Amino acid sequence: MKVPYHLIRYSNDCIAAVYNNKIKIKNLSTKETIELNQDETNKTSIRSIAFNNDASILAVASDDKKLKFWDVKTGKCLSIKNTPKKVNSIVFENHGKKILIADGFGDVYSYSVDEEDEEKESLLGHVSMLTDILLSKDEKYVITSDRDEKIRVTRYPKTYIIHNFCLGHKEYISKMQFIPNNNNLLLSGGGDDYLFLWDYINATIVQTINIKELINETITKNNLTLIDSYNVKEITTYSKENLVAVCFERLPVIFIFEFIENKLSLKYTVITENLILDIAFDNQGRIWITNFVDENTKETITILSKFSPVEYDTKEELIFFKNTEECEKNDINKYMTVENLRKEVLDAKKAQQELQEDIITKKQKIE
Amino acid sequence: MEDSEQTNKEDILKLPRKRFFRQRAHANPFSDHDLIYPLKPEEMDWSPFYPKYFSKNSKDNTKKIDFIDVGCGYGGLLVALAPLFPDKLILGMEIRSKVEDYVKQRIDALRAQNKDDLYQNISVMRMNAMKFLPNFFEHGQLSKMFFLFPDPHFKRKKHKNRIISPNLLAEYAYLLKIGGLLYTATDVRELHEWMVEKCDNHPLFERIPDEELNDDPCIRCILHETEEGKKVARNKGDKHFAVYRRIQDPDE
Repeated sequence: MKVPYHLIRYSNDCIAAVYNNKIKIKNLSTKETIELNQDETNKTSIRSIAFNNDASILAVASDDKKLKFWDVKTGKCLSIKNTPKKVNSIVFENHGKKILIADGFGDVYSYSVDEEDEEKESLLGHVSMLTDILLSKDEKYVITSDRDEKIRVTRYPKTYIIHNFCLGHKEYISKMQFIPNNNNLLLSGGGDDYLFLWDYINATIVQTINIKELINETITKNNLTLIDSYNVKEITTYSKENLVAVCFERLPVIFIFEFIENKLSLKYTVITENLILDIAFDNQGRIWITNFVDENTKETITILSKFSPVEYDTKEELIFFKNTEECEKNDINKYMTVENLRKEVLDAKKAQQELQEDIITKKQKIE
Repeated sequence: MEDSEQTNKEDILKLPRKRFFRQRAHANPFSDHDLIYPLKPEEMDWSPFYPKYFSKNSKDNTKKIDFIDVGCGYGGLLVALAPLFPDKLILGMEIRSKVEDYVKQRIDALRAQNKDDLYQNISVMRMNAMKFLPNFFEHGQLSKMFFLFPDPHFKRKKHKNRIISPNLLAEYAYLLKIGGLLYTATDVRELHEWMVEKCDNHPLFERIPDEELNDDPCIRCILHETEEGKKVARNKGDKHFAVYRRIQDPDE
């Protein structure tokens, strides 16, 4: 059985797919390919990646708290940084020389790509785990989301000025994405029954989308397996047609919305063959889907080229991505990480772990 | 029935005794307590806290909280400030539930003992102020914030738990009015220096020279009316304080 790709990102002709500690990158116009190995010694898994605007550099953060900058053309590692905590989200500044990272301890730091400039800069912090970070196109605002239902809008680069808080979510937030061709709207989702469309500059809710209803209708209509809770896995956008695609954990469904007349309306509902781990639009408006791999999975990646009726591209583009590593079985819980952001789920797991540690220390004391 | 109502009333009139409400001085601000907080400030029902000033489900509640005492402990400052600022609403926030219980009973008793509106302007809430202040207060709503004798968190690794930190100062600046005041006090010199350094370095705060604070009645309350302040005096320890003014950034 193949190890699945758990992350996929697209920027400026380049598509990057991640499995375990490895990254495969293909330039869709030049057909150049490159394979990167983030951690050859310990093979720690990759947590988050981000391209700069022209896709010449890829920033990669892994579970060992290492942050590496890769030259996408040459495959050379430009620099390695140590982060204080695990990195949950990365965003580049427009000029591509600096990134902002959001970590599991609630802090945002900036790092420069250059090797010499080792010192990180602390920009802001929540007293809660950060899940996502965005930088507005004009670089006037940095927006951070956390596990305590909060979206914070902070001035940039004067990050000591908090601009506002977008409050409305009743559960953790996992993903945010700017609406294409628009300067003040973003869509956020997480463990809620709703997606929220925000005017983040004025902290007002422009629209709420009831995903609980949408999902339940879709499940009934298509005879899908019921799921206990809805957890937004990824939001990706296609600016040429003002499309926004959203997918969920443990659900083989992609909802594609069109932003029209200042609101999002559902345009397509696509049922996929497999459970989805990540999605990314490319510049032709196709959605690259990385699949969870079990006995029934045929492909690790599928390219969705038409949404109604559904068509898949199975061109030579995918040959490069066909092979990952072989393993006996993929543990589905290892790949379903968003649901852990639910307080009751994570707290239960933590309590279990603490109990185990207690038992171990007690044993050690006795010995 | 009448009897029990009678004893209830008598109970309310009696001030609570602190020895029944002792709790360790530390709490982990990162763990998720089962706290109740509103989705956003507009949705907060303040009527159980200030029944004289707020009515339930009424749209004409125009009053807003003015001062907050973060980590109010046994409520000494609240009680001292109540008669000094009768037209201001003052809220104490305390993360330790037993201590919060004590303050609540203390305020209930004081309200019952004083038939006029005295002590109707102070209240207490069990809350993690490091996490949820923006759920309760709007941008620029507060005119005073008190951080008195906070947990020193001596270990370097625990410095993020300190109630005054560069990241949290940004949040306090967001909540304070331009010209609003932030008060800190501690008996731990190292913590005092740390807090002063963080506030000095924050572009939205400017220190008020100590000699300009002679007329500020809050300082006397902080040094002589808080339980920690009294304890430090009994032990003949040092008391350090610093007051900062929220200033405006040209880009705001």
